[in-house]
Amino acid sequence: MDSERRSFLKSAAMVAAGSMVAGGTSLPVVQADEGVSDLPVLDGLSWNKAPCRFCGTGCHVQVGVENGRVVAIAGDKAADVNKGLLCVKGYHVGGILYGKDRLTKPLLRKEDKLVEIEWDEAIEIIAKRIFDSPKTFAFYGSGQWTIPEGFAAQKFMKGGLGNNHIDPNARLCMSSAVTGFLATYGVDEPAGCYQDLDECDVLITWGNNPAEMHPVLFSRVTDRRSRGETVRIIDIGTRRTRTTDAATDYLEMKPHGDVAISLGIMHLLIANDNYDKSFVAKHCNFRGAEADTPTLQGEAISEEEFRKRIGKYTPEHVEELSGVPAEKIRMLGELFGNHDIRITSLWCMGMNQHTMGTAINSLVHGVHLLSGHFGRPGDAPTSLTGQPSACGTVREVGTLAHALPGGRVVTKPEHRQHCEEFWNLRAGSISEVPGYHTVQMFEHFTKPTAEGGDITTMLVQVTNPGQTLPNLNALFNSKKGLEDKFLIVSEVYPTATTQLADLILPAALWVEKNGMFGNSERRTQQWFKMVDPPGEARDDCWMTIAIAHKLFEMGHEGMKDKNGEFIFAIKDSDGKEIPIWQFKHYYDTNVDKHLFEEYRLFSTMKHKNLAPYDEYVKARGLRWPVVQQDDGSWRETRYRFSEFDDPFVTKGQEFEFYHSSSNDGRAQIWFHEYAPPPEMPDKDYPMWLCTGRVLEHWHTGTLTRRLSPLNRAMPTAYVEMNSEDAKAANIRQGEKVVIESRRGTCELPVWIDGRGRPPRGTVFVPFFDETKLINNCTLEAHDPFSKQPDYKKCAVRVVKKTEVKKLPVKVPS
Amino acid sequence: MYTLRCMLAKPQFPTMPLLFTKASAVPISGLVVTFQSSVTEHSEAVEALRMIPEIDIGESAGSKLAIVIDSETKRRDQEIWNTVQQLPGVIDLAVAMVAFDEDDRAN
Repeated sequence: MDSERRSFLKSAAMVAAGSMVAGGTSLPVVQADEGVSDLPVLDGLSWNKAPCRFCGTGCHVQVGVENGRVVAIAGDKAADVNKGLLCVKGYHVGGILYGKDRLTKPLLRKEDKLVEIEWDEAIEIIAKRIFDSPKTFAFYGSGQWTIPEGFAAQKFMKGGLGNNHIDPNARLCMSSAVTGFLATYGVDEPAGCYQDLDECDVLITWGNNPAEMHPVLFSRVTDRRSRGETVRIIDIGTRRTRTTDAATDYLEMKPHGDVAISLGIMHLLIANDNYDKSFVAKHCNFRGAEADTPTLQGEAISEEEFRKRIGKYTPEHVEELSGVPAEKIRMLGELFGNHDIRITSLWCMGMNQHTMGTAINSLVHGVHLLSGHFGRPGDAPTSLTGQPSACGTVREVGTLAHALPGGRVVTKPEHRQHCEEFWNLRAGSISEVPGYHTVQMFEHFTKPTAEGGDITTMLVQVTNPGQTLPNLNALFNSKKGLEDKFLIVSEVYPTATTQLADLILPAALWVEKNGMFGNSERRTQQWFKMVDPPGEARDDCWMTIAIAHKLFEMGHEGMKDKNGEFIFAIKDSDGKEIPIWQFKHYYDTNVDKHLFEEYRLFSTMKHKNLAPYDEYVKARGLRWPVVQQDDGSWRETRYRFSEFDDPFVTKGQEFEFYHSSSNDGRAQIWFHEYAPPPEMPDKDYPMWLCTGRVLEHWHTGTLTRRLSPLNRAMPTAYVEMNSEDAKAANIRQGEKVVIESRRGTCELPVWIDGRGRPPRGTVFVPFFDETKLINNCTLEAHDPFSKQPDYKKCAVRVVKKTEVKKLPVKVPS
Repeated sequence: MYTLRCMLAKPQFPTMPLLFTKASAVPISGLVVTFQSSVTEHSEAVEALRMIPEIDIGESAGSKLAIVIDSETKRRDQEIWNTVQQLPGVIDLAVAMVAFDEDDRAN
């Protein structure tokens, strides 16, 4: 970089930072056209908007492109989510495109070697395998799929192949949030939005570490404090984290303690008679699980019955179950009983990766409903997501094994009929049988065909199950006896999953393609392709369409609509079909726009209305439902179910849960009995293992491990250990140990009382490091409704590496 | 100054090996430092920032301070980032803009 240019960029960086501090109060959000007003203007440098590629917060960035390469990133001042600021991962997001080991050619495994092949051959191989056995094909996707990518995959599988074996990695991270929302409100996704963080008096983080995982959101709260506002942060967790450092109160609970704590708060609200009687009488029902076959619907119970069941969850009993002192439970009860303050609850994986995930999600919603801390800015139960489009693609497009777009499910005939009509398919094209959820899908893929393993070909896009599945030794690691199985992986870099792949497809990433995401607050975001992908890397959406067209050419009836036309056909203004299945013609039109306009049709049934594509081009995202106004403009919704903001609430109702599962406009306050975790420490495996993430790396590290500053800051996974446990076991700082569970092992260096501080009897391991697969040890036990596995608690022992073959180290409980 | 040097020299994670040592990139970043209270109440931390030659200090208002880091290597950039985060009173460090060198390649 020459010195003049460098000097200019320095000035521009100072102007950008300076504009963020001007005023000293909360950061302003400027008009969209002002978002780039103080960014550098250089010959050949252009700026365009995109959502960040990492977490579910949905920060917008301005991407600076010069000579076909991303050269600068700026926080987007026109974005309400991040108001011009980014976290350390956002700071590096431009670099994710430029790791030296990008995959650039299709690779086919031949006699244990990967050899380069042409795209035509790759597409033909895939299509032939599907054509020969369409019902044993599975498509494993992601919350990083863009909305059009997920929609195309959904249509291809459920509409085209009549095969529901499509599921996303989001099954592993937020499906319990989905079932919690469905059980409570009859419809998925949060009622509130990020504004709750700006308005709450109390923020409760339930097994959640937003200081590291959603730092820009957390900074909205700490920023308020720095302006002199009082915000009480209560951190409920199983280990101390950076969020604890900022917390006013830290309540350390035993694993599954959250269930007892939420029951204890509800017990106190009833016992102290300070629950919100008016809100409950007008807007809520009580619900319990059926004794025989529990469902998400549950059965109605009276308030009297609810009081009876909750009666035993006294603060003292909750202390026994959760480890949190009774007086702290009383403190929470008093806070929720105070109607003059506003309380926001935040959660993410801690409550979702839980064998009682649906229950604990429902119970925390219940605490807010019972106390009336709901539906006003600052009063909200809010789940966060870890992936940029877990909401937009997985939950809204419905790329789950049981779901159809727009909140529909395959088991309802009228829902299948809607989809067949929207897609112009023959009646009966969509199967009524739910497909395999993630754990089942991999169980059937890794089980020999002769033993009933009836998934023989799997296509994986935009995710890394070889690192993220629980109990990897059972669900992924072996190919022995599976010679007839075929794993296809679309990826940007080599991963633990591509290591076992039979065919690897090089994928375009982020601004190398058009895209749309949906973030944690119902905000749908759009961006355009800005740079070319390297080599022969191509869009995932194109891959799906190309495979579909190859099947169409081979005569697969499912790839034809009722008129005999290709199901993804797009025509030009003269009515001539554009051959988008040929990559050289893929960008002859905006395929994303065509798919999104088709998808919009699905969105109104559950009042998740979306605006036309072009409205998202202009905006920094819009929160659904987005409804057209009399003047033709499109208005987003910040607060669902609240009359003051939600256009679908009947006037005069104040609150209305218009998708209530009891069909009476009411939400459900659930009772669930506490149950212990499925595996507990014992004499052989005396310690709890919790897994999770760190600030520097995003999920499996496929992207962030290619960013040297981040990787240098956190170069390897580790096991966090309590100093007393380490001392008792004669383990030194940095010493290599082996974590052993009943399912597998993982060798790691020890970080005693590191960044997070686990209590005695507990260890924590992050899962970002592909060289240290902690999921060899985790448990595939999952929630009965969401099918989401519990990565947060299983029993392990810690063995000094030098003593692996000797007796396990005894760690006092 | 001695304290500051110690902080700069302190690796983020002393027990772990550094996997990548190549110094290639020269990012320029505009950052926003947020203090627990008004910037004027954290003169020691601001003075410490002034003593880092790669940092230019810009406008401040309330608890926020604009800075620009212009370092010669990515490693140095990360060290400075860590140092700033660890200064007393600093509760948040956010990014407003970053420009990469054309040879900014990792791995």
